Amino acid sequence: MWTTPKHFAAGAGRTVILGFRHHAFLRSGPEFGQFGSGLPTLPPTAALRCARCAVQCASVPSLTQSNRSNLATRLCLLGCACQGSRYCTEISFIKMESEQKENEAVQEGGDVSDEVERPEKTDPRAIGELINRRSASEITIEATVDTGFEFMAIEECRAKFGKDIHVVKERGRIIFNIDKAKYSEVLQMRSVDNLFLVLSYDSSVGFQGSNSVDDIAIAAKQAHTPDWDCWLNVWKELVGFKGIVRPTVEEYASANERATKDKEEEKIRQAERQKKYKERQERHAAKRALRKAKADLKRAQYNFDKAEALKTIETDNKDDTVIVSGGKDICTGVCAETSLVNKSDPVKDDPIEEPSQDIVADSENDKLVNKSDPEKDDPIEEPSQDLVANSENDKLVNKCDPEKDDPIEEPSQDIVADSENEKNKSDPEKGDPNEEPSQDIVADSEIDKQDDLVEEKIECGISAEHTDEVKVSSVISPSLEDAEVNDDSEDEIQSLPDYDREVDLEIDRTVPEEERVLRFRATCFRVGKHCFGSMEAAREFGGALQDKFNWVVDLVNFHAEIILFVVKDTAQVSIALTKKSLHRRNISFFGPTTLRSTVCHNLLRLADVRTGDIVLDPLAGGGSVPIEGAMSFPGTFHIGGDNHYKAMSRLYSNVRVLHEEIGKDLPIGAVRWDARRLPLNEASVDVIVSDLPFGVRLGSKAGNRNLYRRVLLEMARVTRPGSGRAILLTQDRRSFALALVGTMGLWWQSKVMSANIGGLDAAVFTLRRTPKVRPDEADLKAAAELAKDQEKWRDGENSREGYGRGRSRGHQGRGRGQTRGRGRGGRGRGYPRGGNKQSGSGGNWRDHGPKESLKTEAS
Amino acid sequence: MKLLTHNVLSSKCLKGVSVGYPLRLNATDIKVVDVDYNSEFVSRMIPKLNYSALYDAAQSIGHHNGLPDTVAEDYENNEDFLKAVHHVLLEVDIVSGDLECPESGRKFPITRGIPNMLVNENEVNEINGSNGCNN
Repeated sequence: MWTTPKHFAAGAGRTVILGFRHHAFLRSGPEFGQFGSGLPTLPPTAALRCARCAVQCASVPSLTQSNRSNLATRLCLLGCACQGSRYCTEISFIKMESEQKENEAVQEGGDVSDEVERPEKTDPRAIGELINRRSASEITIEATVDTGFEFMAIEECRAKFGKDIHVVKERGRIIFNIDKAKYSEVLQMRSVDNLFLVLSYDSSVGFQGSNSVDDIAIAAKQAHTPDWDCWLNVWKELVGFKGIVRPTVEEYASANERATKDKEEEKIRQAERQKKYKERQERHAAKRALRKAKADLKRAQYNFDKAEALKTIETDNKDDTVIVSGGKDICTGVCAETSLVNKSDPVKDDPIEEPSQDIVADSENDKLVNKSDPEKDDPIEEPSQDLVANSENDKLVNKCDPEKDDPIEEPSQDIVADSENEKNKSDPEKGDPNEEPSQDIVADSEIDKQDDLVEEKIECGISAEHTDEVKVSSVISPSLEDAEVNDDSEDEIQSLPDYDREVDLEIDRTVPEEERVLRFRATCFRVGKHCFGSMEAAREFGGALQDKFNWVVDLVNFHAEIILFVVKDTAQVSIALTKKSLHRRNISFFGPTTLRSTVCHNLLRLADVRTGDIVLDPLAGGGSVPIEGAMSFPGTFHIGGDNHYKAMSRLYSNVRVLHEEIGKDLPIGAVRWDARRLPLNEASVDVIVSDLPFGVRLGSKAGNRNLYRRVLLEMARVTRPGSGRAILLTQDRRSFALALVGTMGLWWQSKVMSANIGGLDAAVFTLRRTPKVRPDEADLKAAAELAKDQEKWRDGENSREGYGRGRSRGHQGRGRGQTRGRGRGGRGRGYPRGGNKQSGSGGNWRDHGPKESLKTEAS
Repeated sequence: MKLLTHNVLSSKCLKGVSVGYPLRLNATDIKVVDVDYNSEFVSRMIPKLNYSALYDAAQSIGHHNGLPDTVAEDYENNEDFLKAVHHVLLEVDIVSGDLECPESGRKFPITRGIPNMLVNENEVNEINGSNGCNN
């Protein structure tokens, strides 16, 4: 099954014993002697296998290009489930046999795709052969799929049309022959986006590569290759076009006049659409600017008050606690911006995270009330820390004492300080101002952001006076919750903005269908090196078609789109069958990161959802995954949940619209929850399919590390051990890999696939649930150590990459000693903050690469 | 909220709660809907469910007609039983009301058919290195 890697000299030890974490030391010799630092460079197609559990831990191609050659990095990011969270000590380099054969056939060093499943190398003649194989009643259909998911589409083909169907796989598309009568079934495929009818294929066009005019002419000649008589009729039948496909010159002339008029109307409509869009953008920008201004003012106030408080309050005040919400992000954000005053916090730019530093600077009730109104719209975007500070002073003092101990603890001290001050000072104003802050604090703690960075809760020393405040607030907070929920119920279904509601106008409406002349558009896609561009080729190609048929040219409102697809020296002519992409289904209300239905379908297919399964999406957002699951996989139940009220509103609306459309209810359950604390029983779910926040549009990469780990742990808890599986989509591979290692032997990664999601190089991780019900002692200990390491890594990385945690953290984190050992979320694990000499520079090993760390080891 | 969802929900994450299951159902508004019947789905779900919790929940809202209080023998072939279970699992939808934790009494409101199980920071076990809610 596994063969010896080609690269390594045939020697005894194929097994390499590797050490842990960030330094890899090797025991076996001869294979690696050739590599200077002693660390081998793994060939890109190698995979790593745990010798103990004989399971493929991870495939090397799943790691990024930059660290592909760095074994230590790779191993640090891997972990084999059989060892729990510890890194696998016995990893052998293997190459799959099929890969080996393939590599023998292909030049080494050619670019290898990232997929674990090795497809047959695409043969330029394959499509041609497919066409030749076609029988009289069949048509050749090309379907586009998201890159990476082609195999799922092929699977669907096989499931729908029989196992014998021969499908050619190309990058981003699949091509197959199908009986014309079955076309309606093809339209119901759920894993593909667009369908095209392949008209002709030329596997060696004969581009000269010298003269662009000549080559373009050659390309344009392709317009004559298809058997138009036959195919136009087939196309008419399939698409339902009743007009004229072979107009006479007179018919063309009149049609062209109509077309010109229509084009002008279209231009006007376009201009209106643009205007509306711009206005909308402006409105949003204005809102944002206003909020920002308010936030700046309040922050300035807060800084000043904090500075004041620092002088008066002892910092040793830390008793037990009421947990104040807000994550590291807030405090670090605050700290960052207090220490780097005029620098704009990168975290702040994200509108969702930005107001988390909002601080209510005004202790007057009015301002509070006013503030809470606009904020009602968006409690999450709200300040997760509202502090009523003293508003009497308008001086802005922007200094944060960097010598202050733990930056996280610090602001919380100040929160305390401030609330203390504030309480003392504004007693007469009692009621609201005092309750508001902690209410908001607590309320926001429930409305925890999904991308929250609450890894360590901030403990403030709050004196007993405040406990009843908090009690009061905890009573109040549910009502705040209710209030916002009630607000939602008023706008039952969100209304679609005008420009989204594009009515599909019929083309050439003024004449009956039979008299309409075909309007077409010619497009050219080009892959490879040519001496001409696709635009020029499209022009000539379209021109040739127009001369031949007298069709009306309309690039926007067309009946037929004819595509010339030039790949290196091959050319394919096809005609589009779907005007609107097939992925437009299910969802009516889109959020910031709504996943396309076809991608959802492919993920579910990858999960092998079977009848009787309960499928969970703990971070459902608008519910695209549960909805697609309920629609495509009958006999399953889907539970989706999110913590953001807007997402829940969208989920509710989407489901409701679907219910109305199909007339009956779908087997979907929706619950509002925090994915890090799922209110589900152990082992109650069979499959998890989810689109984790990438950290690009929603959340942050820094927050992801923590979020992924906690979410993975929770998911492990609720999934059935042994048979459970999870398909998780994320772009942040690194955070995911790190988090996975911290899941204490509950998950093992069986496959990683690359996928193109909106242009981002995302990865789909297939995880299987190990039979372990709970992590055992060894796992827990290892996890604790791992977390310790991750702290160090994070600090080390911070200085280099500034992962958004506030630049001050990196500097202040180390060298602190054990002062705040207990202060870390009460976990009872003191983190030696940089006290560990060995990792003094080891913490930065990533900055300098493995050689340095080895040197440190050696010395 | 369907009773199938209710069957898997628990309030274990709250502080001081050891089991937190099953949650008590107090429904103020119930709706009966139409869902496609799939006998294979129902027969595969039955062993995965906590049947007594389902029966109690159905009883507490008064929709337990036709549902025996224990799983019928040979349920896979008993169409009536399967249909009854299907009805109770998927077709009874609680639109508003609340879920109550049996141990702490904490109420989770249900609005528009969606229960809100978000918890406050102070009600919850602190997250430690191992599984949050596992201990």
